[in-house]
Amino acid sequence: MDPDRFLLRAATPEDLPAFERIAAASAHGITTLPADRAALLDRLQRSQAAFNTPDDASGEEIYLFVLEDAVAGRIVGTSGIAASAGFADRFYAYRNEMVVHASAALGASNRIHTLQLCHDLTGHTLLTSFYIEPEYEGTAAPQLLSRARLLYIAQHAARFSDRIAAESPGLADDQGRCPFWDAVGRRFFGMDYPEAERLTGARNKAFIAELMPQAPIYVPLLPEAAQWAIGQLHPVAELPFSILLDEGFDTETYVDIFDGGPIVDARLAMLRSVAGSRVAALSATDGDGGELHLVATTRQAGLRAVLSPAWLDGAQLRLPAAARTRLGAAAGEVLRIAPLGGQA
Amino acid sequence: MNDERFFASADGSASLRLRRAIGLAQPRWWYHLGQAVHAAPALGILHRQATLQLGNDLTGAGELAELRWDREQPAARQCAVLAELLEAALAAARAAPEGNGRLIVELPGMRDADGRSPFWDGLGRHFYAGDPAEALRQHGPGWRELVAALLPRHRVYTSFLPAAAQAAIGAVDPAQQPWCEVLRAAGARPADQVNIDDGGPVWVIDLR
Repeated sequence: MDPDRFLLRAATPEDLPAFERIAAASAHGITTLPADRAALLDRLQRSQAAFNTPDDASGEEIYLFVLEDAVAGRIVGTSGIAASAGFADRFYAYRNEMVVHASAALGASNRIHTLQLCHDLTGHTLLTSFYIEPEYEGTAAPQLLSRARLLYIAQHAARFSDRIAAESPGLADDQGRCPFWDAVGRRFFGMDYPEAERLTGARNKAFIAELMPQAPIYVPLLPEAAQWAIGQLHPVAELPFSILLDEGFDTETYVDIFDGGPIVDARLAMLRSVAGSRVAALSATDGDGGELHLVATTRQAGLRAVLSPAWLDGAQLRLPAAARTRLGAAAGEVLRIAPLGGQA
Repeated sequence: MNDERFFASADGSASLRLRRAIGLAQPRWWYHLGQAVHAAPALGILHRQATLQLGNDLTGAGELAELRWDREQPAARQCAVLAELLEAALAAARAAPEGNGRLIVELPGMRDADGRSPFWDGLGRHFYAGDPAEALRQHGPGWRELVAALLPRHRVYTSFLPAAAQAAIGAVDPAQQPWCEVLRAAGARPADQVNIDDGGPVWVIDLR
């Protein structure tokens, strides 16, 4: 598909029908979108308020984006940002830790894999709510949908943490049965995984601390299926996860306390799209060539971003007329661009 | 005073050692069998879990150890010999009680027909691939410290162990039946500690 047809923009409450459709289409536990109309509308209103308030951020903000396909004439994907993980409380994760037990006399030295309940990711900015319709997975659209968020964070850094994290769903079957949950969480919650998900939503509820042990979990004591599930990705998340890997996120340190899925984390400045991004004013002169780039507006109220050939002519950015129109950008407006690399 | 005294029955068919104040020269290790309660009032949840915590709880107690007896004799005879032995050892212990006035006995735990311990298979084996019995042969009484260095230092929830291992926690090898009877008659009772190798219980006798 021609990358010209896609526009990423800030979501508004008018996008509710599209969000309802997407929340219903995405499998259990795969998205952080609630499948409930009132809850979705609340999110959209919170997101709109976050985009529109010029005040200093409190950390409670969420930002939601939609991806439009101009040819199909509809919204085909969503993504989001939560400014501060576990806002005003704690954000729980398991940290992979190795302890070495050694006895020289017995000639034994063992590395034991443990999972330590931690709050390390509290306050990190979270990438959330990624969903794209399956027929678009092979296009460059997912790159725009995922990575434009990073340009927005980089542009408005004071509203976000300099540490970015993202949760990905772990292994679970269609009924929501999850080997990691069955071996770990179920012991402490005494309920099925979907039920626990429903109760806790975000991973910051006080009863997580009340129910989960503070001592590390010795991984060798878990059943094999649960050991294998630690850090394993649900197959539906392969595409968004691979985009994060390409960005340079670290996948080794944290896993979700419920399903064992990987939680990636990174310093914002080290991410490829951020490190490689440039800010430049839009030239009055049209361009008609150059490498494919992510091109995003720098306004705080309402991000718009497209995929387009672009090149820097000195301090001026040249774009094709069509891209300028889609962005709604006038000559002289400051834009942020990042090369798409080999991803298209 | 010697740290150890050796006792033998009059007919020579049984013997044991009385040790004073164990664990002071070389640390001794047991798992403490405890509980963790996790409650979330908002959810109406209260869960009790049994836990194992490696520690040195019984340091300083006296100990009856290295018991040997002839198991070919009739059961009644075995009990009589063991009672004679225990009485002599207890008399000596009471004559010069240790600081905390307690005497412990580690009882062998459950084994399967091949001599394998389901408790060790379910827990210790994941931390030390070797055989504790072999460690005892090679290193003598200090084996526990060597093996304990490899065992989990943090609290272990027993529900993480296989059912057979959980069942073996605090369970006594049935072959110890005569000795258990004699100990019970002398007022011994199970402590909250179990052996680090086979999960067998520690029994304690209050000397005061």
